[in-house]
Amino acid sequence: MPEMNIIQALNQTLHQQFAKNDRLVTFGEDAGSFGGVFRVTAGLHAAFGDDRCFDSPLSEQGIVGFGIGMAQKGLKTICEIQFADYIFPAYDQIVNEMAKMRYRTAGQYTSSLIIRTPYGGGIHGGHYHSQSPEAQFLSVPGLVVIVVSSPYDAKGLLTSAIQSNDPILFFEPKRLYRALKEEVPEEEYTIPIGKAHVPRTGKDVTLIGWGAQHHQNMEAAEKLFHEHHIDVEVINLRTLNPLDVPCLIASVQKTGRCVISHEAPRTCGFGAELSAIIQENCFLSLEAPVKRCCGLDTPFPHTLEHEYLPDAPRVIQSVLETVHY
Amino acid sequence: MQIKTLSYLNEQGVLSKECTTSISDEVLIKGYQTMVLTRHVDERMVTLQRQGSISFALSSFGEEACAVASAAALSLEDWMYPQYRELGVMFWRGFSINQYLHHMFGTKDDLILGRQMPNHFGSKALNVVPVSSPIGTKIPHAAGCAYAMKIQKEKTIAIAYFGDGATSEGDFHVGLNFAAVRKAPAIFFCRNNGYAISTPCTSQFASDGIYPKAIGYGIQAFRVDGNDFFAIYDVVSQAKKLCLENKGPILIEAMTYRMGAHSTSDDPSRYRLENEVKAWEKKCPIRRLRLYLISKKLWDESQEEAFLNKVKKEVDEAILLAKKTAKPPLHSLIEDVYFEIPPRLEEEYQEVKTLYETHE
Amino acid sequence: MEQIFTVTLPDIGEGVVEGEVIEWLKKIGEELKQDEPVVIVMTDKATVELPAPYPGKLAKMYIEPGQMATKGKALYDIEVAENVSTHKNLTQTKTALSKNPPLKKTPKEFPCEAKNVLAVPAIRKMARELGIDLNEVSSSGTHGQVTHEDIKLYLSQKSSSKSLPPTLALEDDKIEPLIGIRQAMAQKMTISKQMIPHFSYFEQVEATRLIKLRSKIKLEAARENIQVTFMPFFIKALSLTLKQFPLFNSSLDLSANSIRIHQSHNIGIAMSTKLGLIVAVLKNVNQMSLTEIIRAYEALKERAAHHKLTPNDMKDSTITISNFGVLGGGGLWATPIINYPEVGILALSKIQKHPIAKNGVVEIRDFLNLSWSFDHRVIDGDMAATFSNYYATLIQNPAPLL
Repeated sequence: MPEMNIIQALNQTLHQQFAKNDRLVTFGEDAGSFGGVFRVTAGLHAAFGDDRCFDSPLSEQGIVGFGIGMAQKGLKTICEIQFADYIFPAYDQIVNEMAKMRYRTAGQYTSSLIIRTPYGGGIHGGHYHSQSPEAQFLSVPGLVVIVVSSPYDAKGLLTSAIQSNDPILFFEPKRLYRALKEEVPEEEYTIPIGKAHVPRTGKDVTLIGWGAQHHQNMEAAEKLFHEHHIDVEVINLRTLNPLDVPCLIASVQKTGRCVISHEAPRTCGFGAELSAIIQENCFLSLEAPVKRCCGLDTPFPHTLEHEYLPDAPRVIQSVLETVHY
Repeated sequence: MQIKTLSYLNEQGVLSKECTTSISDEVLIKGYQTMVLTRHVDERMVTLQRQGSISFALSSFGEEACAVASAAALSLEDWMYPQYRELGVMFWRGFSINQYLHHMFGTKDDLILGRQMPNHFGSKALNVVPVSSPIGTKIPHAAGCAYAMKIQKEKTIAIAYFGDGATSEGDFHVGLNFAAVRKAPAIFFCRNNGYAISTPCTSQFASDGIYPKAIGYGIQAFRVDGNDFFAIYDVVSQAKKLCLENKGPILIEAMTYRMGAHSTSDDPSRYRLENEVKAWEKKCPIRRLRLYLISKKLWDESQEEAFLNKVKKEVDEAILLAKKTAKPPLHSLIEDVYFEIPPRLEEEYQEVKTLYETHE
Repeated sequence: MEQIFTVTLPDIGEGVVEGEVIEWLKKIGEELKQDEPVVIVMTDKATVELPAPYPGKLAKMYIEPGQMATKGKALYDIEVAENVSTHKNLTQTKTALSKNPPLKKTPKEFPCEAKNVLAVPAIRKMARELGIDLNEVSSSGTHGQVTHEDIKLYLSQKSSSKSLPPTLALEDDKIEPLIGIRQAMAQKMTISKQMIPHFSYFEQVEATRLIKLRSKIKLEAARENIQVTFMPFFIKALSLTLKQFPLFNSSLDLSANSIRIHQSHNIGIAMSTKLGLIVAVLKNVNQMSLTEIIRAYEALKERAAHHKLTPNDMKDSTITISNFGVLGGGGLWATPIINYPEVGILALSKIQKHPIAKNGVVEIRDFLNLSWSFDHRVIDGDMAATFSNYYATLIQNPAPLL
C-alpha cells in the first residue's frame, strides 16, 4: 500500500472522484492551474478542464456565494478557502444562506457544498495563518463540521463528504499537511461522518481531541503510560457536528475523568460544549471536574507559538491534575 | 456620460414606433391581468396586517411591470432569484392565490411550512428560489447557478432581482465580478426605485445610478423605464439572447419608483413628500398598459370590473381558507435542518412537545 | 342575533407594543364595511389606519383620542352579523399549553443529601447507593472532599462495630445488664477513643501555698456554713488558664472543617454516683469569682447527691476535670479519656507528700499531680506543655485565683 501525506491523499481523492462524477467542480484562489497554494488541487485543471477546476477572483464571500448557486443547480461543488483565517468575509453566506437553505425552503433547495480550508497553528503563521475557527460554525444549526487528522482520515472523510447531502466545513490541519505520512488504500473507501475514532483504549482518563491536536494527545498518552502508569483512552472526534455522543458518554462513564484539548482559545471553544454534554450525561460517574486544555484566550502569537499551543507537555499536565484531583 | 433610458410605452399608453419588439396579445393581456392581480393582492395583504391577521406584508406598488414583464420575457426553465418586491413573477408563472395566502399565514400548506416571515415567496416547481431576508445574498447565487447551467450545457439563464440599495452590498460586487470572469449567463435586474427603506439614492452611491457600475466589471448594461412593460420585455429578451450567446452576464437597471412603504413596518410620510409620490402616479405601469390595451380593443371597462370582482372573490376565499387551516405540525420544527434528523433534535422536540399541544 | 367582536390593537410591526389613538374615523352606531379604515393609530415607527376585520356596526370605543392603546388589549367592539364567522387575530391566539402538564416529579428523598459535605458526583452516588450519610464520614481529600479511602475507612469502622469480636463467656458468670448511665458511659468512651487521637501530658506541681490559701478561705466560709474543698480552686485555675489559651475550650467541627472556640467556660466535673460516672457541669465559670464558684460547686454537689441534677446540669461542658484524689488511696497519675467533643481533660490526684531535691537536700513537700489528655488534632505538644505550665503556676502561686 502506498504511503502518502495528507495533501497527496486529498489530491488522489479528488482525482478519483472527479473521474467518477462529472458533476464535481472545485475552485478557489490559485486553485486552478496552479493547483492551490498547498497543491491540494494540483493536476485537476489539466485533467478536467477550466470549467471544473478554476481560479476564482480574490473573494471568499464570492467563492462561497457563487458556490452556493452552483450547488443549487446540481453541481457537487468543493470550494477552497486558502486559509481558515480568511473565511470570515464568507460568514454571512455560510451562516445565513448555506446553513439555512434546506430549512428555509422546506427542502425545495439545498446547498450541499463542501468548503475545504487549512486551519490551525504550528507553522509560525502568527495571527492570520493559524486560527482554529471551528467553534464559530458549530453554533450554527445546519452545518456539518469535519476535521481531518491524518492521510487515511483525509481520503475517507473527503469521499464521505462528497457523497453527503449536507453543507460541510472540511478543516485540514496545515501543521500536518506534509509532516505525517502513512499507508492509504488505493481504492475508494469512506469513513462515516459522525463517528469518532478511539485508537487507544484506557481505563483511567478520557482524552478528547481532533485534527493535529489528536497527535499531541496520543504522544501525551504514551508518556503518561510509561512514566506515570496512567492508562489514557484517546478519542479522535473526526466529526465535530454531528457529534458521536454515545462514544463520549461510554468512555467517560468508564473512566470517570475527562480532559478535552483543542488549539482554539478556551472560552466558548468546542471544549465548552463537550464539557456541558459530558456533565449532563456522565454526572454521577465524574471523579473530577472536566478539564479543558486549550489555546489561551489571546490572538495566536508568533514567537511564543510553542508556549501557546496545548502540545503534549500541557496535555500531560492537565491529565495529571485530573487524575490527582 | 450620457445614458439612454430605453422607453417605448408612454404614460398615455401609446407605443413608440422605435419599439422593434413584438409581444403577442395573449402575453399582453396575461401580463396586464397579472399586474392587476398582484396589486390587488398586495393591497389586501397590507389590510390583513393592519387587522393583525398576518404579522407582516411587503408590497410592490408601482413596480409590477419590473416583475411581470421580465418574467414574461423568460421561460419557466430560467431560474429566478427574487429579493422580495417581485411578487408578480410568482403569479405570472402560475402560483395560485391560495398557495400565496397559505404562505402569508404560515399554515401547514405553505410550501416553506411557516418557517420564514410572510412575503418570502418561492417555489421549486416554478424555478423561483424562495426569498431570504438578507439583501443581495442571492446575487452571487444567481451567478453560480448560471455558471452551472452553462457548463452543464443547458440553454437557460438565471436572473437575480434586487433594489438600488443592494448594489452597495459586497455580494453585488462579487456576484457581478464572478459572473463576468466566468462568463456566466446571468441577468442582474436592478429595480432602481429611489429608496432603500428611508435612504434615498443620493445616500446610496455617488455614481449616476447603477448602469455605470457594469463598466467596472467589463459587462454590458441596459437602462430601461421600469414602468414600461414593452421596454422591460424587450431588454430582458435581448439580455437572455446575449447570455445564451456566451456574451457574459447583463446588468439591467429599471428606473421606477416605490409607490408604497418599504413594508408594513414603515411609514414613508416620515421621509418623503406627498408631491414626489403624486408625480409618479401618472407613470403607473398598470395604467399605461390598460390604456394601450383599450386603444387596441383588447380590453374594456366591463372586463376590468369583472376581472377585479373575480380576483377580489378569489382572495376573499383564499383568506378564509388560510385562516381555517392549521399551523404546521410541531415536528416540522426539527425537520430539514440536515438531510437526516440528528438524535439531539428529537430530544429537543420531546421537551417542547411535552409542554405544548401538537397541531395534528 | 348579533355577536360582539372585540378588536384588539394588533402587532403593527416589529415589536411595537403600544400606539396613540389619533382619530376615530367612524362614530358609534356607524356601519363598518370589511377592510374599511376605522381608526388612526400612531406609533414611534409609523402612523397607520387600522381597517375593520369584519363588517358590522361600531358598537364601542375603548380608547379616547390622545390616549395610548396597548397591543393585544381592546380597542373597539363591532356588532357583527350572525352569519359572519370570526377568528381571533395573532395577538389573541396563543399556542395552547399541553392538557397534560409535564409530570412534576417529586424530588427523590435522599437521606444522604449532605449539602455541606464536599464530594465528587461519583462519591455522592456511591454514598446514596450504600445508604451512607456523608455528614458522618471524615474527609481527607486535597480539597476537603470525602474520598474513596474515606468511605472505605468509614465502612470498615462501621462493620467492625457491627461484627463484634466474641467475648469470654464462662458458665458461672454473673450477668449484670449494661444499661443506663453505664451503657451511656460505654458508648461515650468508645466514641471518644475512636474519634480522638489522645496524647498525655503529666506535670507535678507544689501545692504548699494552695493548701494555706484554702485553709484561710475555709475558715471564713465556715462562718456561713459553706464547705470549701480544693475543687473550686482547681476550677478557677482552669478557667483562668482557658482565658489565656482559648483553643483548649473548643470543639472540632469536621463537617465544616473548623474548630469552634466556645466563649463560655462550662467546666464539667466528673462525679461518681451510685449509678455510675456522670459529668455535672458548672456553667459560665469565666464570669464567676472564686467565691461564686465555691457556692455554685457546693450547690451542684448537693443536687448530685440527692439525684436532683437537671438536664441543664448535665450538658454543654466545654472541658472536664476528674478528681480521682477524692476517692482516697495513693493514686498518682492517670490517662483520662477526653469527654467528647471536648479537646482536653484534667485528672487530679490527691495532694500528697513527696520527697523533692532542693539545694542538694531532700525535703518533703505537698504535691498535686496533673494528668492531662489532649486531642492531638487540635492541640500539639508545645501547646500542651505551655498550657499545663500556666495552670501549674496558678496552683503553685494561687493569689490570682482570688
